[in-house]
Amino acid sequence: MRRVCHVGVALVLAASAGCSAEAAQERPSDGRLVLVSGRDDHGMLAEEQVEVYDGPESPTVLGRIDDGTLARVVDAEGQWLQVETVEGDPVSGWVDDFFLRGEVRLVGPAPGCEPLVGNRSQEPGLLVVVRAVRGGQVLVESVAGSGVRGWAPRDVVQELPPQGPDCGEDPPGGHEH
Amino acid sequence: MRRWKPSLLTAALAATVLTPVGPASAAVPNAAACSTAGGWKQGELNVYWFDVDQGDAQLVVGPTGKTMLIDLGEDAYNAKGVNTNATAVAAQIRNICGTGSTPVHLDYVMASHHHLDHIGYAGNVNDTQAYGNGIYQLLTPTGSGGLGFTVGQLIDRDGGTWTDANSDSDCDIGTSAAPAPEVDWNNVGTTSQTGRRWICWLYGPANQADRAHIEGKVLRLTNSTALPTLDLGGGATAKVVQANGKGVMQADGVTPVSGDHSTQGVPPSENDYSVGVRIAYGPYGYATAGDSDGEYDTSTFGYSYNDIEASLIGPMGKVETIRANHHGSGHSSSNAFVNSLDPQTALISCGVNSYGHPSNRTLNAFRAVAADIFLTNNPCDTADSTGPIDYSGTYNNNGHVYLATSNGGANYSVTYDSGTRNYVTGAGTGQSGDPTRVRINEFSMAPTSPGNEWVELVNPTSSQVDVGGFYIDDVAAGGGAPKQIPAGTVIPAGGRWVFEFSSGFLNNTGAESVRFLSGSGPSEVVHDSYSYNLGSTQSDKVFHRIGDAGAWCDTVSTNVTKGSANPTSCP
Repeated sequence: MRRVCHVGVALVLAASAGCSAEAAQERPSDGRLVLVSGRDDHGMLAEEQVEVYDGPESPTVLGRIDDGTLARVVDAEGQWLQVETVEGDPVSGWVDDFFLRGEVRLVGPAPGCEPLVGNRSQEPGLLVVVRAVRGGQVLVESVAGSGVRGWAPRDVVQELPPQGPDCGEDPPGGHEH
Repeated sequence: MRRWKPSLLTAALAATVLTPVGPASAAVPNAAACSTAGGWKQGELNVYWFDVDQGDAQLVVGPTGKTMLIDLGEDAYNAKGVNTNATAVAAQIRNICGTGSTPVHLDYVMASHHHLDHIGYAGNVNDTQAYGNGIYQLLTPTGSGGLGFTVGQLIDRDGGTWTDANSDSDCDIGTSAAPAPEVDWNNVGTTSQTGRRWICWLYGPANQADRAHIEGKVLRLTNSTALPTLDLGGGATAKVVQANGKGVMQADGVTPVSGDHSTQGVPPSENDYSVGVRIAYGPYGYATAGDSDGEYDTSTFGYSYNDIEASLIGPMGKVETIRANHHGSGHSSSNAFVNSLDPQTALISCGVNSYGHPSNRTLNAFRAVAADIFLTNNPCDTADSTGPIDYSGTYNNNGHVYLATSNGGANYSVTYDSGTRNYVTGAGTGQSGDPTRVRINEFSMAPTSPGNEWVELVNPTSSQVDVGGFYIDDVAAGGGAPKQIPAGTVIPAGGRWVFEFSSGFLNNTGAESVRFLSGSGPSEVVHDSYSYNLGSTQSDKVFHRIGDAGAWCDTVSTNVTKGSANPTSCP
């Protein structure tokens, strides 16, 4: 793992700790897409749109990305990542990793909530990474050892596991937790 | 790749940020112990519930000054410097412990579970930006930008541990796009960067500067070792009774909550791995168990709730005080849990939220055992799934709540923003008496115009009872809207009280009921009811019990004793 240093006081300590800006080089992504999320630790939708900035910790807002939008990571500085949306309105900017999800759930339609990957039905809520988006389909790979890989409808990708009679494509959230 | 460059903003933050870089010093002396110069009550048990909005932070100070902090939650992952709950709580602890501006040595710090609102957001050695609040900020040395508190033992549930997958001698958390496989999950359902950061800090390398105050101090509560009982001094103890969902099965009855379920389709909530603790001093007992759930259900966020509270009932036993699990969520504080622990007092730690905390069902569960309810804020949420939240009869509007025992735990008092309420340990009810034992005694359903209908209640107990906020209703799920008893309505011991209302509420003929409730609608709890079925209107007659609170006469009577003792026989 890269050795990167904290700002501020850490900068002073950087030399003795073996840190340098040059060391902070690494691929910003292993090739997966990320889901932009406005949800908190509990899954509650705290922000319907996530702001992106013109640099790490910058106060200048470049744009806003809807919660649940897939994006590609093109650069990184520590926990701040530069993303470009790969669907919806084209937006690019820097965002704290707190607002990104590299693993998502596959949730099919009610009543079984079973998603189709290729032509095969999978476990509701299957945890996957998304590799590509094309023509309303996503290329996914399972995180666990089941070895699932294939194309699935874009609308089976969501942040949260299945819930409720409609399998939770749009969890209501409010006043119930 | 873009290189790191300090911005004006980050430079401005430099004076307050945490900097866990560089080697730790070899030996770290303890900070100042809780001093007798502080505000805590010596020789007794002290419990402080700090107002950290929608989160938790509580400090226990034992009779000899031993201290135990349970949780220190934050509102925002990126809260920094002086704008954190950690900074505010540290100031309060310094004041309680009388150390002035000097950091305090805490004998124990315990994390109930790994959510931001309970532990905050830890910094990481690989961060290029400034993070670090909650317990991390409190226990990080001042030289690394923290608040400099020290700890004797940092107690953690066993969510996971660090594995140095890339052999670089630090714990990498990675990013969502380039994850680092350096946290081995042990007992988890849902996971988060909050949890990864916490585990990296607690179980990271020994020479890391931000770990100087916790190195060698972490006690991980695993499933293979007995849960400990902690000595709070002077005979006070904190017995850990649950961690990691140990021994509890998921809804299918065969899959343990414990274990790594991070890739399960519908994983258990992190809440269900909470640490449960029973704190005792003399006869006084207090139960706190993080965000443990009390039912089997699937949340609207797609993870499962599991009935951890059922596993707590036996080891907790009867207590005087409960801190409501999960900020008063309706998925916690099950009726079975509350009824079994039978508290006199309940504390709900909540702030402005949209989770429905506290729920009407939970508030009614505590009302049903006549517990006095204290909140760190009021209101927190304004509605739950049943409708507007009924805060009637609760105590404290804003700020911390303080409990102290006296006479070795035989008595205790709770101090809040408007006063102090005193209790006798083991008396069974709060100062409100036990309204669940109030009975419908007599009622008039068909008065001659212009008379009012009325229902007489009787209090058969030897204590006065506050029934304010309770309801009189007719038939369940129909008829007129429940009629709420005015706040402050107190029925003396053995006394009666008559609730009058305009005619037209109770049916004169046909099937009808008269019911005494706490809550209304979906959250109602029925404490007493009587049903009748009349073929014709019985003007100015009543139904009554045989004597006060006796068996019902199932025939209408002309012997009306409104507000006075009932007849001792039926017509």
